[in-house]
Amino acid sequence: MVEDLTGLGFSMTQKLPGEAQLQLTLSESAEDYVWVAEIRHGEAREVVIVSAVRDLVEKAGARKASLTLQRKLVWEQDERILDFALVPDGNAAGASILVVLQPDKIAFYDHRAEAWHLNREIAIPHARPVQRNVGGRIDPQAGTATLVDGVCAGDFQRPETVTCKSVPSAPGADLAMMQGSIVESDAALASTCSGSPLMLSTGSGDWTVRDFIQAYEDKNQREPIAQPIQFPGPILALWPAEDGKTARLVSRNLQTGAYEASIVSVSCGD
Amino acid sequence: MEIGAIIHSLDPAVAAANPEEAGAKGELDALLYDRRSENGDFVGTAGSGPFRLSAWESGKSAVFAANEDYREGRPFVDSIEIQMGRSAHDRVLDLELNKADFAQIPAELARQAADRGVRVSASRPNELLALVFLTGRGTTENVRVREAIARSINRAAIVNFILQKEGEPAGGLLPQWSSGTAFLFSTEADARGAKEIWAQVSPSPKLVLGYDSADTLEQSVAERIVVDAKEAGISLVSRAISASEKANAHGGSEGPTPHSEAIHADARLVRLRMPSPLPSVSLAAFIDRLGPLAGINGSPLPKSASPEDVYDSERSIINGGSVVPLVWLPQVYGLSARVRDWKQPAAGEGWPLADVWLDSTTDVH
Repeated sequence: MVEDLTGLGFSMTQKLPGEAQLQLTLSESAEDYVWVAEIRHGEAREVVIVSAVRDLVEKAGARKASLTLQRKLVWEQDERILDFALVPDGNAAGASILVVLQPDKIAFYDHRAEAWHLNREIAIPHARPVQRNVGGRIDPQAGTATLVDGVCAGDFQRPETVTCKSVPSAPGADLAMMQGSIVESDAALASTCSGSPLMLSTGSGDWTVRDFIQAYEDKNQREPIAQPIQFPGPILALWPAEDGKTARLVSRNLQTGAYEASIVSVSCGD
Repeated sequence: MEIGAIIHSLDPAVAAANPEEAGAKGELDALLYDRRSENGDFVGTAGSGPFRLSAWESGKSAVFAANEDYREGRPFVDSIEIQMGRSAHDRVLDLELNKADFAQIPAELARQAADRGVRVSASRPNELLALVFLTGRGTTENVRVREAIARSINRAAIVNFILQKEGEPAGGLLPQWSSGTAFLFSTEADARGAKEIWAQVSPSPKLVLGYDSADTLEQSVAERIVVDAKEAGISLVSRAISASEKANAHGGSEGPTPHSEAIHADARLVRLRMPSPLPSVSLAAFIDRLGPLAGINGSPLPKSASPEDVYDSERSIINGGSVVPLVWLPQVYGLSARVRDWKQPAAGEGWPLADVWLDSTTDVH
């Protein structure tokens, strides 16, 4: 501040007896930024207050505080889950199909009587033994499920059209794995609260420890803007869903050993 | 799953005579009612809030059941069982022994409770303990009398020794976090100045400082003020104000406005809890409450909610000398280990018991 004032032409001197003293305090109230100048001249004291409404900051803070992450467990099973997707059922209006991609097969489940029931599963042939660090991803819109050395394709809304085959693995096609988690452990979402995009990120632990998911304003700003969701084991895959507002997430429950498929959503909470 | 909460006696007759317990009653009303009017009163039907009253034994116990149809969703807990009339020490003991999941703890016991392993949650300081010179007393008409007593008070000692550092010295009517200008009001003791001012008072009166007979904190603070005053040569004694005396001062259980004439003291200690984090709202409420006691009915309300206007209004009351802020107290709650998602309520907010859940995997027994 001394430098700034000097730059503006003020000169700083030692305090002289009888001269007025000015004490500036930068403070803040529940609503405002408050600048307080106390001017003392002998016994006399004058207080001058200038305030600025923290409106913009408050609004940003309110938005941050009102963000809530929610997890909905969709499916769990003992066999490994690489990815999953919920797609409309092309044979039954208003119904959904759960697609679960595993290292050696892709399964389609119908929702009946409050539960998912296996409709169809298709084996995925491999040119080589399945790797421990196998990864895979479903693209419901394109109608593909891709592994390093296999692919399934068809209309996922009509499982009977889907077929799987082995393919040669292209150089660099392996989904890189690091510390037991897929490198792409962020998912960009369009916020339902402000319109600004959000970044969901997992923790950095390996797959022997519990994990969490956290929301950030962007990838570079590491100031979380919502309470994290804790998971009872590592998060193995995190992808933005097709609606842009939710993310699909695969984790492993270290207590039960089961693999869990979940949908993570963001709500404004007000 | 049930959550047990232990709080003060909430007998309505007692609550009317004791603003503190009336405050606790307000906390319970916040669980029962969905909406408040503009002046903060609960409106609508009891049971429209997150809970419904399913049992009530006056002065002893109550059970609140989750409202399945609550507009903002059913609470996580099924019911809240409330035991009334437990002393502060018993409430801490109940938490220690896992007989309760939630209890209010007096600020002065917070450190002790934490040392004994109780999980403690404290708010920002939002309750003011103040000394009020009662209106209509010839003894305190002289501004020098009021100033001498005000200067003699060692607030730091009250915070450090009586409150065990669970509070802050208060110089203004609003805390720093709310107004941003509290630092402009001095909280320093000035025994020498008090002695000099008191020497100018002739004849020097004998003064009585009243405190709530049921409030051990007020008693300790009053006794400390008497010691400080004596060191400055001021003749001041403390006196307990009984519940019946307070009830008379309130004009019976129906009248909310206290009449200071009915209290046999020259000054008394008063607790003021902020109804809102907003400084202008809280200051207006304090002026409304203190007006009939301290004769500051004519004090100007803040012209606007700006820090400048709030400070001007606050300063005019403090300079009048009828109200001497002493300390700021936080709201302290004890929680069992299995309580999850507890969020400390802000000033004026009710207990967020609809949002907490109990972790059944946590072994508390």
